[in-house]
Parts: sequence; C-alpha cells; structure tokens
Amino acid sequence: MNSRFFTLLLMMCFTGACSPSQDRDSKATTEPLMIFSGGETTIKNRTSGAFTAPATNLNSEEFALHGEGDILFEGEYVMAPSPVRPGLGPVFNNSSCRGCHVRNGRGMAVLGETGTLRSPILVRVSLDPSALDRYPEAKGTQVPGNGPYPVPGFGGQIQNHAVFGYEAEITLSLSWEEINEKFPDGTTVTLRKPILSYSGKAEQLAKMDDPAILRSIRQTPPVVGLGLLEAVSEQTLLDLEDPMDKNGDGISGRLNRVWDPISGTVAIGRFGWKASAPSLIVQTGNAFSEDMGVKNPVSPDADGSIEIDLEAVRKTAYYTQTLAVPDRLRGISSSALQGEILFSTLGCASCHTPSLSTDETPAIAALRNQTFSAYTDLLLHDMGEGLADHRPDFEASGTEWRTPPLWGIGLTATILPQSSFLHDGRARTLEEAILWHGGEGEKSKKAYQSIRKTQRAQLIDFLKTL
Amino acid sequence: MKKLSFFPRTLATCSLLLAISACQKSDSSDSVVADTASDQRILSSFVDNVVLSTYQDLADRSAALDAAVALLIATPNETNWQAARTAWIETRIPWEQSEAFLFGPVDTFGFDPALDSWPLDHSGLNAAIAAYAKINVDTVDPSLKGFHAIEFILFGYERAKTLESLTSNEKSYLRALTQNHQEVTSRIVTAWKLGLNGQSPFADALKTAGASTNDLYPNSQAALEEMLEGMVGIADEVANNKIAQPFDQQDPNLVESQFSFNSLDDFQNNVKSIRYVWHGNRTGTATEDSLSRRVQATDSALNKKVEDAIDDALATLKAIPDPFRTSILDSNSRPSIVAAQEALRALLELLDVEVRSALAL
Repeated sequence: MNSRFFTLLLMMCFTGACSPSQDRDSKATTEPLMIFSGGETTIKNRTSGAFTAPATNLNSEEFALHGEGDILFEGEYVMAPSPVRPGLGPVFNNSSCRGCHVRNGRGMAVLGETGTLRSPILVRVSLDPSALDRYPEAKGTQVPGNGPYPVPGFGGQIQNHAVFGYEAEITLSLSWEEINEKFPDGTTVTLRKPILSYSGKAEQLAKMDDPAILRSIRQTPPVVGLGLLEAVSEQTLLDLEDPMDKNGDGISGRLNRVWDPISGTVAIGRFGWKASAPSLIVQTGNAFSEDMGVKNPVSPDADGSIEIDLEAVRKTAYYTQTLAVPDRLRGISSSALQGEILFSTLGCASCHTPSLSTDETPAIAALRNQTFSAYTDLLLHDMGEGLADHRPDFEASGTEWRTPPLWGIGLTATILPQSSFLHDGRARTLEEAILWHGGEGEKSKKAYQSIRKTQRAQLIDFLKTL
Repeated sequence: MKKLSFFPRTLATCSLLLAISACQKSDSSDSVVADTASDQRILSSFVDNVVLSTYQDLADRSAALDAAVALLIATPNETNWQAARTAWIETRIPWEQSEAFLFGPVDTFGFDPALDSWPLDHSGLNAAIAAYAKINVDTVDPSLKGFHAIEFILFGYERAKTLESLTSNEKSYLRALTQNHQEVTSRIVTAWKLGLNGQSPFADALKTAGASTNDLYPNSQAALEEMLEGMVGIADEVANNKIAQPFDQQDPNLVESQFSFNSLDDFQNNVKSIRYVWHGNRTGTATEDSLSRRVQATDSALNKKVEDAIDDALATLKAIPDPFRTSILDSNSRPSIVAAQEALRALLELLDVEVRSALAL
C-alpha cells in the first residue's frame, strides 16, 4: 500500500469513478492493486468472519433478503416430520449448508463419522458408459446434456451418513500416500494424495471394487463472491476461451457446457470443481438434494416429491450471491509485491485471471458494473495426470478442472485452521498446491521450482495477502 | 449468521475508507512493532482471563451437571431432581458468557452446534429417547443433543416436568447427553490449550498474532478485530435474532431456553460476555491490558459510553417480565422488549462504528 494508491482510491470514490464501467472493454487487466477484491461488494475484514458479511453495497431490500437466506444457509435440517426444517436424509453428507461451508470458507479433508464434523468433503460417483452392458438398469439414466451416468444404488454421489433408523450407503474413510517432490536446487517437498477406503454391505463394497464406478473426492469450496462470478456475461467468458490455443501460450481454457434443469437446456457451466453447475440456484438445489437429502424443485425425488419449495432454494442461493468479498491486505510487504510480479511472470495469471468485470445486466443491482479480483477465468484446463480424477463431468474430461478463484485464499487458515487446498484437500500448503499443477500448469510449476527460494517465498507471501 | 442490522451504504463505504486509512498508518514499522507487543498483551489477557477461564468454568460445571444427573438416576428423589435442574442452569451461565467469542475451535470443530443447536427437533428427540440404546450421541444430529435436549428432559413444556413423569428411557438418554456434553466441553478447553487433531493450540494463534510465522493472524490488528467482531456479533444475535425472531413472528417455539424459562438470563449473560471481553477479565473491572483501557487512553468518553451502553442493555433486559416466552405475546410487555432491543442495537452500533474507529480496526 502506498499513498499514491490511497489518493487514487479517494479520488475514484469521491468522483464516483468506483464504478468500473470505463474498464468494460478490458476483461483481464493486470493491475489488481487498483481495484477492491470484490468491487463495491468488498469488506475490509481479515478475521475468521471475513467470508460471512453481506455485500456492502446492498440496498435495504437486498439486505433483508440476504438475511433470510442467511438463516436458511445456517439452519440444521432434521428428519421429517418435524415442525422446524424437516427433510434431512434419509441418507446425506451433512445436515446444514454451514456444516460443510464452515464460516463460508474452504472445507477440510475429513471423512469421519465420529465427532461433530460429519463429512465436509464428499465423493462424486458416476458409471463409465463402457460398462453399461454390465449395469443395464443404468441405461437411459444419463443426465441430459451428455452428463454423467448415475451409479445404480448410489446416484451421483455417495451419502455416507443417514438419519436415525436408516443406514448410510457406505462408510468412507480417508488415508494418505506421501510422495516426495524434488526441486532443481535440491529442496524436497513431501506431497500427499488421498486413498479412499470403504466399509459397509457386501453388495455396495463389490461396486467399489469395480473400476467402472468412477469417483472423485470434492472438498467444499469457499462461497464468497459467487454472485459476481455468476454475473460475468457469457460473452466475457466466451472471449476468454481459447480451446485451440490460438495465442500459442500453451494454455487452452474452455468452458464446460452442462445441463440446466431449470431452463431445460444446455448452458455454460460455472460452479463446482469441474464447472458442472450452470447457476447458483442449480448448485444450491443440487446441494440440498444430494448433500443433505432435502428434495426440492431443482432436484426432486424420483417420484417428483419435494421437501422445500423453490423459494427456499432461491433465498439460500441469494445468500451466496450477495456475500461481501474481503479486500486483500493493503500496505503489503515488498516481498509480497515482488511475489505479485512473479505471479504474472511465471504464468499463474494466465488462468488465475486477476480481474473480471460485470456489465449492467445482472438482476441483482449490487452486482452490476463491478470490476473485481477473483483470480479465475472460470475455464476448464487440463491439469495433468497428477490431479486427474478420470471422472468426466459433462464436457470436462478426467484431467480437466475449472480454475478455482484465489480471492480470500490468504484467509484460509484464519477461517478454518484444519483446511487445505485443491479439489480433494490434498495440498496442506499453498506450495503443495502449486506443485500439483501439471498439464497446462506444468510450465508455471517448473518455473516456480526453478526460481530462487527467496522468490518462491515472495510468491507465497503474495498469495497470503489475497 | 452475521450482521442482521442494516447499515446504509454511505456508512459502509466510509468505514471501509477509514479502515484503509488505518492500514496506511501502520506502514510505519516502528509503530507496528510497538503496537504488536501491546496488542499481544491485550490478546493474552483476553485468552487467559476470559476465554480459558470461561471454558474451564464451563467444563467444570458440565462435569458437575453430569454428576448431578448420575446421582439423580442412582437416587431419584426430589432433592436430586431439583439439583440436576439447578446444575443445568449453572452450566448455562459460562456457555452464554462465552458467546462474545464464538470463533475458533468452538466453531471450526462443530462444538457450537453439538452443544447449543436451536430449535430442538421435538419428534426426533422422542424417537431418540425411545431408542436411546442404539444411538451414538457423539454422532447424532445436533438438534437431538446438547443443552436444549437436556433442558427439555429436565424441564419439559412450561417448566412443568416432574420427577414422577421422568421415564426410564429419558433417564438413560439424559445421562448419555450429559456425558457427551462433558466430553465436548472438555474438548473445547483442550483445543484452546493443547490443540486437537494435530492442530496447534488456538490460544497460541491469538497470543502470537502478528508473528511472521502465524498463518491465522499474520497481523495483530486482525486478532483484535476478531475480538471486536465477536462482541458485535453477539449484540447483533441477541437483538436481531434471539429476541427478534420469536418476538416478530409471535412464536414462543422460537424462544431459546424456553423450557427452563432461562431465556432472559441467557441474554444477560451474553451481554456480560461482551463486558468481559471489553475488560480483558471476568471481574467487572477492566484490566490494564484490555480494549477498554486502550480506548480509555485516547477517548475516555467513549469508554464510558461503552460501559453505560452495557449497563443499559443489562438493565433493559432485566426489566422484561419473565418468562420471555410469555412476554413476547403480552402487549403490556412489548415496550420493555423493544427497549431492550434498542439498547442492544445502540451497543452494537457503538462497538461497530465508534470503537472500531477508535481502535483503528
């Protein structure tokens, strides 16, 4: 932070120039210092509550609606019948949104059934279509839009908890295999990757022995700023796509195209580790249904029945659309400033796009004409064999992942000390997360390994300011 | 849940700018060093004399509650019945006095829902009591255990539960609940003092805030802000949730601690919790290393305003007729409830705006 920035900031705000509309043509600038992390939604807060504040630019109606959604997001659902929030289960992963989204932050790689945490990560499953002849009951069950085939008996994910009187689909546990990664300068870092194990009924266990049952561990992502990401126009995302790598930078991001059960059409995917959800209402409806067993109009029960109405899903989604993004640390060290330059020169910023903008079209006024620093392009990238789950999800291949936003990543431990990084929580540190980058990220990872140790520390220092 | 009161946009923008200008000031490395040491003294006092003291008190009283329930089951007589009920109320005090610092392990390990989920799942609870032997209380839904499940068995609807009507299954489930309660409360102390599941002690994270190796609080101001947010959060919660939800919806089922008629004591202990954090101890007089003394040094009028606002919140809560679940439906009580909400909101705003600014947070 320097006085020049502060003066500029004051000028921008007092002249009404906070609105980034003049910047609309440049979708990806490289001057994030000049903008608040979440545009005008931004809050200044570096505490464990940094992800829980409403956007600062909500009007009173929006604020009230946010509050209603907050109660739904926080509330524990219970087994029906009950006068209060019935509908949990019978099988589920967790009993409230915040059960996994602890303080709205990144989750933790815990899969135990003991204690009070339940499972803040879950396991998605699908059937490899080549095995359809062995699972004839799965024929015709493919999610529309060329989506995954649910696994007979499991569906789209494993629910490893059950309400009283029912049995979980299967009990999961997690262990880790360690791998050493050596740098050119001799530095060695120990990485780990997850190993799932299963216990339960023989019939279910037999399925888990079948390699045609594709599986992917998914850790809870943070929920701040999602409304802004949803509000970025399709055209902006289409402009960012470079599926054939025409600019020859070795990076060929592309959008996922997924099924939207609300519109009944194929739409651009934005949310989830593989961008398999087209909107926050679909993401929220699916999470209610799949993660908590609370059936709703977005994802009803097989017989079409529901336990909460669309309004409840909409309000809960609205809460995630209207959270404030905490501003990055200002007045940062020279090391972090150097790290920010390295972030660009090492190529990190090619996918972790430092800024995006919305236009005047979003339905929520607070999200209109915002420029913000999410550090994502919302595109799928091939991340190589090391990170691959080999479970395609709509157009995302088994090696592709959507660039996760980095805003707020420096608050990860502040919000949840047990938390870790990447889709399955395998990376205990930011450095480990960097070292798992392969495929389109391989070049940047190699560059990171080849710079001096002090420079590597600078890059990490920068990330911690976000 | 966060900030249920609405601040106009201009104010929010203004405090953001103030906050950034405060960051600007801390650029001078000399003052940063001095501030960090002073901040750490405030944090240490808060951790040792407020947090650990309160949680140890909670764990001790929870153990006493479990012992009282054990005695009740061994010798079910009226004396032991009343003793168990009193032990619940006694245990409630430190818990409510901990709610101005509902961050850290109590939240990240899920201890808060395990102890204090509300509302209660009545039908689920009846099913659980009927099948208590098959239930692992450690993993059962939070809505079926903790303070309010214990309260429901000990007090019943309208505080009308009697020893004679206490069934054998209820006794068994009650004991399982109090044992679990004791385990969970002792885990909170362990998480703060020693660390759980390979994590370092949370007390250390706060006390060493500002150290370059501290990933949780890389600057000490963020840790002080954590304290402030905790105080603001509970003032908000009492005014705009604990009171407002049942009052606005005219629904006694939404009143917390309604079986024991303990709601108004709960709320007052929440406000005392704010005072203790502000003072850096639980004695009623601020310690040298406290937010109160820091504000006093530069703006003694503001410190007095905070003390007065806390007194006012306590007095107005005390003036609401007991039990709260009845008062919310009584038009004669309405002014006293509104007055308490106003006092709490005044305290909230004082902390969130003036104190935040005075502390340069």
